Amino acid sequence: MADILMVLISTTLILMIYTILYRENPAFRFGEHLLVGATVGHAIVYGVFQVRDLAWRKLQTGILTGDLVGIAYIIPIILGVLIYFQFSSKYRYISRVSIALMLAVGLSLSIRGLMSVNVIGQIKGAVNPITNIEGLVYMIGVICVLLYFVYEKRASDIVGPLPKIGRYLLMLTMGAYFANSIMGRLSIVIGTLNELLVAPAWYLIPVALLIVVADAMIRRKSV
Amino acid sequence: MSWKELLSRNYKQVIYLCLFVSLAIPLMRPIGLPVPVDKTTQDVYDRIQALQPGDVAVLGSNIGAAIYAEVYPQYIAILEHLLRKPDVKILLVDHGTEGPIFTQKALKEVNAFTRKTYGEDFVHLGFIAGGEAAVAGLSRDIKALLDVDYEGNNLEDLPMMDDVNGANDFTIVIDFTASADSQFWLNQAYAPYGTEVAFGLTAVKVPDAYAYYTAGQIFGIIESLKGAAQYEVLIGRPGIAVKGMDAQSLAHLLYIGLIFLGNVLFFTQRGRRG
Repeated sequence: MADILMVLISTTLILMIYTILYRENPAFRFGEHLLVGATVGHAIVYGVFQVRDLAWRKLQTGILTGDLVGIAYIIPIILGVLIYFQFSSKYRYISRVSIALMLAVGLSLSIRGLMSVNVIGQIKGAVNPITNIEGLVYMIGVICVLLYFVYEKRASDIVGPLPKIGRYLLMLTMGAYFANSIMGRLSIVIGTLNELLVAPAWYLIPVALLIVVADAMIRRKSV
Repeated sequence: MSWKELLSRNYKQVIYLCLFVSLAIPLMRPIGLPVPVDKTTQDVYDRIQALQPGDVAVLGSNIGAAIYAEVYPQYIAILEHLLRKPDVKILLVDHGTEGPIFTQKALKEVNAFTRKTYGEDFVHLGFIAGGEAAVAGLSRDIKALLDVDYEGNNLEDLPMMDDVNGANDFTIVIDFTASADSQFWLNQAYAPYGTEVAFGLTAVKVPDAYAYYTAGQIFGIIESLKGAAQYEVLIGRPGIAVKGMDAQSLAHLLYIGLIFLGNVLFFTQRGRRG
């Protein structure tokens, strides 16, 4: 019984969200706000659990055993608390200590990987020996697209139509991005329909359609 | 009213209804269109197929409600394939707060708890906050980062974790996401430790990942629902993704038809205006 109730509630919420395809309405707003609220609430609970598991328990153990590494977890906890000074206009500057540290750690962590993956690795990939037609197309593509971004007239005159080819290649890539986003959006709808088109969920679809049609007729009459 | 004027009106709701019908009919009555397998998917399959007993496969997940439809079927297919490999250890880790819900759901869906022994064959670490810093910590020293798994079991008490403590012990990593955490694994596991990485992605992220695939930095990509359907075909377990591909194909035909119709109207109206 609880399972059926869960399915009916989730289906009702999905259909409420989908009513935006008809027009803006309170049912859509309710569903939207509920989704945002539930997601944020869930994230907050997880955040609290993370502080407990990653820092608080280690600090507790450190204090009980006298382990200095454990006791040192007081530092990230304090830094975390400092971030909340963002809410005070008078003491906001205190939160900048934590933010600066987070930025520094983030940058230093990512820079070593980014250089070898996104710069060196990509260049190595682009200059691989050409063993097949794909490799040749790839290399020509890289050269043409790079030339498109050389905004120097004399250079463009020397290389002839190559920057133009680069522009078309960029357009093809944008087309691929757009086509992929259409495919992605359709996949989301398909995933939702997979949940909707099974009993007892689908019994609610004609009910929702009837409500929409009735609303459309009432609005037409009032106009 | 002429047919041109009739077609020029805004039929937003009618188009949505047509789209719904084109998606719903094949989902209720699958057509069974062929699903050709891309090289990017085949590469992931071949690499998993080549795993040896004792190898460790890490599945990173940022699956949430927003990308569930696209990425979850991929996750199920890969998990099923890994469970079929004898003595391959599976480490599950989540990068998003919604991740653990879907990881637990997937484990139940493929009957992992009855087919393998938790703690010996697979471990679920749960969500670890911190983004790239968390992935760096996982790659360097798991036990320094975490004391307990998702269920609250002490990592010291799980036999599988005796031999698994960082990227040096990982054979492959497959990350399922729509955001930047796939890049985190490249930065923190592939670049410093040489761990082999593959991605399971939403369609929007796929063109970005091709740059890494072509350069040989990742060994494969599972591309959206299409990739999931291909993987289901490869492991001989057709599921929701294969069924979804029929719907996808019909909807694409509808899109092509509408684009064609829109262009015909545009050019006829332009012709009339001179």
